[in-house]
Amino acid sequence: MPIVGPIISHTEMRQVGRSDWPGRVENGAGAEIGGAESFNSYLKGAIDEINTLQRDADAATRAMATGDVSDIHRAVIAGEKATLAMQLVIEVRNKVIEAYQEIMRMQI
Amino acid sequence: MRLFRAMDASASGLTAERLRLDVIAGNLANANTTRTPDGGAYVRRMPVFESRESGIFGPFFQAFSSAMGEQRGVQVSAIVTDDRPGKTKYEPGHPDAGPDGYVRMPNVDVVTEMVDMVSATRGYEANVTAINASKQMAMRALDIGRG
Amino acid sequence: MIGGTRSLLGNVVNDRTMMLLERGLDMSSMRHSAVSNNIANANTPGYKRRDVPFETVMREAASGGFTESDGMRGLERVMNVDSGRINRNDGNNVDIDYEMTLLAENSVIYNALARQLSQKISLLRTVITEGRR
Repeated sequence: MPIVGPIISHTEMRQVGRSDWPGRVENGAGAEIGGAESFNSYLKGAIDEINTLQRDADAATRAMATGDVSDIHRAVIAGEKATLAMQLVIEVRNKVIEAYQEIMRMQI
Repeated sequence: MRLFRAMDASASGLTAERLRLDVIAGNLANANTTRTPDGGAYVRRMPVFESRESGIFGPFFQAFSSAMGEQRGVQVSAIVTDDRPGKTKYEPGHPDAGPDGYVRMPNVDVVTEMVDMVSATRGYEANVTAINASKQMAMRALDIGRG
Repeated sequence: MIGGTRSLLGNVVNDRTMMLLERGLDMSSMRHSAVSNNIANANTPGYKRRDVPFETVMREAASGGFTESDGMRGLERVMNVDSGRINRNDGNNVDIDYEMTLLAENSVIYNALARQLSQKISLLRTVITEGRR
């Protein structure tokens, strides 16, 4: 996962993923996952999905480049979805890091 | 077989109709030709249209119950001669007249050729419209997400 | 595959409307292909026109008939051969005026769907990136 490596390898991100990190986490659907470990695995799941989307987009782009442009709208949509998904995960990551930093500042 | 292959199909239609127009033009030009290098009067020619299907029965078409190949438009598979005899004209002074004074005329009926020409022109224009539609749709698809 | 119930991305990027729009574009594309081929073969003896039963398929898709994994593969099944209508002497049943009408209509549908999809994606992008404040 070369593209999304930096997202998880950020030190603060790793901190958040530690099992002794306080606080509960909720996923997008509002249900409590409970615990930092769930957040980590959630993030990994999201990254996997992005990977799939990226792979689809790459395949579609390759098809376009080699001249087999049968489904141009499919290729465009795949690309857009991959970009959106990536942006979403990056924003989520930013928010989580912000929250983490907030909390770290609170401790004395 | 989607947008760009649809364009291929339309392009093949253009080629075919154009060929048909050429044949018709040749027929019309020779509507009164009583002497050809092969001897005898000019014989009307007709293009044979055949739908072009690539018989690719790959994984894509396994679900098919009826055997249907991938459509690729149309092609002119042959240009054949119309073997019906032409009219004969009574003109004893004509250089190509037979001993009985009759001249064998080409079997080209101008009216038929004109009707065919209209049909071919219409077909040609329809294919042009189809190609424009293909192009416009493809361009629109490229703008998805950018609007 | 993306779209499971616990998947955040699935719900965002692959929701019902999005899939419906995509499916619509697929169908429209296929129909355009069939109509183009009909027009090219408008004067081919013995050729029978082809079409896709657009409305039936879309209704099916709206009620959840297709899954994402079907992709385009599932759709090839639906193109059928229309052997009805008035035949000419040479066995060809293509009415070029009808095909032209279909072409125009389908073109509009494709554009409409593409525009809807476009707007949806723009909206998603705005929602995602404007959260950054």
